[in-house]
Amino acid sequence: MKLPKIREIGEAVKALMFGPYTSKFPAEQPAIPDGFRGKPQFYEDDCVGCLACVEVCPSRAIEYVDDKKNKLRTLTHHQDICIFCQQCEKACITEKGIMLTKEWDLATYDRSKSITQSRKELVICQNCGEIVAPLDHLKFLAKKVGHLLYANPTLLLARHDELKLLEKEMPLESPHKRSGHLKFLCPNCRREMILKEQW
Amino acid sequence: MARKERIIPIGPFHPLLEEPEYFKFYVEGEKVIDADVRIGYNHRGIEKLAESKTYEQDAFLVERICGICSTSHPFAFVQAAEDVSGIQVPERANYIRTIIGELERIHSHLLWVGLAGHFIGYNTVFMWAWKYREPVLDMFEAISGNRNHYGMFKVGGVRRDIKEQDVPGLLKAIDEVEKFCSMITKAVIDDPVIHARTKGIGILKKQDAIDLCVVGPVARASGVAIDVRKDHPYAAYDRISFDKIVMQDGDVFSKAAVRLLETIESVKIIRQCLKNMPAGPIDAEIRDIGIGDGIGTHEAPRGEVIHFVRSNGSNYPERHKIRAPSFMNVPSFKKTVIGQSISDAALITAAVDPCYCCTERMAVVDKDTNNVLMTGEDLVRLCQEKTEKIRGDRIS
Repeated sequence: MKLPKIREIGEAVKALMFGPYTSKFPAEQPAIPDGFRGKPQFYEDDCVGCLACVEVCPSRAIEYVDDKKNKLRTLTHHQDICIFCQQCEKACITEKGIMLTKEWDLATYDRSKSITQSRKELVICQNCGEIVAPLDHLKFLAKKVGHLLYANPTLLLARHDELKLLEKEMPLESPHKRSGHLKFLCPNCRREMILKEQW
Repeated sequence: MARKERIIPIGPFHPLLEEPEYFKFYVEGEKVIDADVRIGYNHRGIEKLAESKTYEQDAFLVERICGICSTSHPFAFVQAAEDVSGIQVPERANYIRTIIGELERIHSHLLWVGLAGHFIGYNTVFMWAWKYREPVLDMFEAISGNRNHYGMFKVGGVRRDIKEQDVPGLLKAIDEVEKFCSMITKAVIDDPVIHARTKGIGILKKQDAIDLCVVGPVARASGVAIDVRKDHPYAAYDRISFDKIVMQDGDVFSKAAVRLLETIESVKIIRQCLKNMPAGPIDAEIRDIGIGDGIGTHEAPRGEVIHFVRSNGSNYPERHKIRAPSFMNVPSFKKTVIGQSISDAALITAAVDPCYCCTERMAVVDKDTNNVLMTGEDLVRLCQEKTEKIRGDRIS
């Protein structure tokens, strides 16, 4: 009977001398170690809108909306659905487009505000209006494949756009004219254009 | 109504923790005369959901089955997926898996010790246990980036390496845990009040344990020597020496002792792992799961967890079956609680180590009028008052 009491008294004395073990939370912020998996953040400059993060997300916390009219792709990451698994960061093709921060205090009253977004300009097929890819994605690929991009008209055009060699508003005369080679076309239209080519 | 019996319903569910149960006690005066155990509430459809996600994503999904022993499910799941075509995991990954599994056992058992202390009104134990659990959680945060859902496991290896600079902190944390566990084990053995509250309470006989197929610490406290880590070694357990803790009595005291001594064994395992851990890759970088069936087992803090995966060659499992340990342990409650007094009921429920959330939702209801006579808090208070009474009797 006596021994346990002595232990408890020892603990009480320790608490009196050094204060309680618990941290004084709101006044004293906890130390966050490196590699902590906090709130994911989109970095629009490095994100290319390739949707790799959407593909791997286990909880489907990232949604995307394609607006063909305004040529805009919006990627939205919802923190209230996110499970902070870091798969999006690991899948990111530029490795910097979406990264986990050390931010952990995410409690909020308004769910609609707990989001982070990335907006990307889309390249639209000049013949049928289908989505080809985000422009930044094409530019990223063009850089990545190097001189091989001359084998692919879409990548070549993206590269030219980056070098400001492209006259953007040049209309497509006819889908089957040879000049269609150097236009942004979706894979279907490009195939058709090559097969039914007119001189 | 011939007998003057009352029904105490406990449960049915609290969606935050692992498995919601519903207990109904039939009480005559102070004594529990019958118990009704029902499970199956809060069906989340995880097995079906697993079929719609890739193996990579499923590792995260099964981690969310349980909040406390969150690594045990991915541990079993990745082994099941690897079993399909006999994928070999790098040696270092095996050691890291073992360390994570044992760290989790430490924090889960300490959590249980703390709550059991709280239930018998020994709040010092509650504070102590949770204090020493904290450095373990901090180490998890440093190693894996998260305090509770570590996300360390993937098919073919682990996601993160244990860095050299984390090792001293890890050793310090487990040293403290070992010191605390030795101290608390002594305190439990010394303290006559804890003896009076736990010895001979809620006995699960060995034959009952075998008949009900209970697993884990509940079985080992009743003298059934089953431990997956020893019986079918996996990860790095066959290269590590540790003891299987078995007690014979099957009462609450034995269950507590098994858990405390197991925590000390876990500390030994982690030390050996850190010492013997080879350098090398941590991920086999699997491209293909293969076609066939696979079974993975893991000794979770609460007992053996089994995952079955059938693969048809795609990157989605065709069938995924999970058997969690509490599913086997909860029915043992029917054997242990009958004949005991209602003030021990909360403690006996806790000793099985299901989710405590259920006990918080206990209520005593008058059978005729449906009025709530007692809530879960009252039952815990009743349990604590009994300790106070015993303590008072001993002092006077």
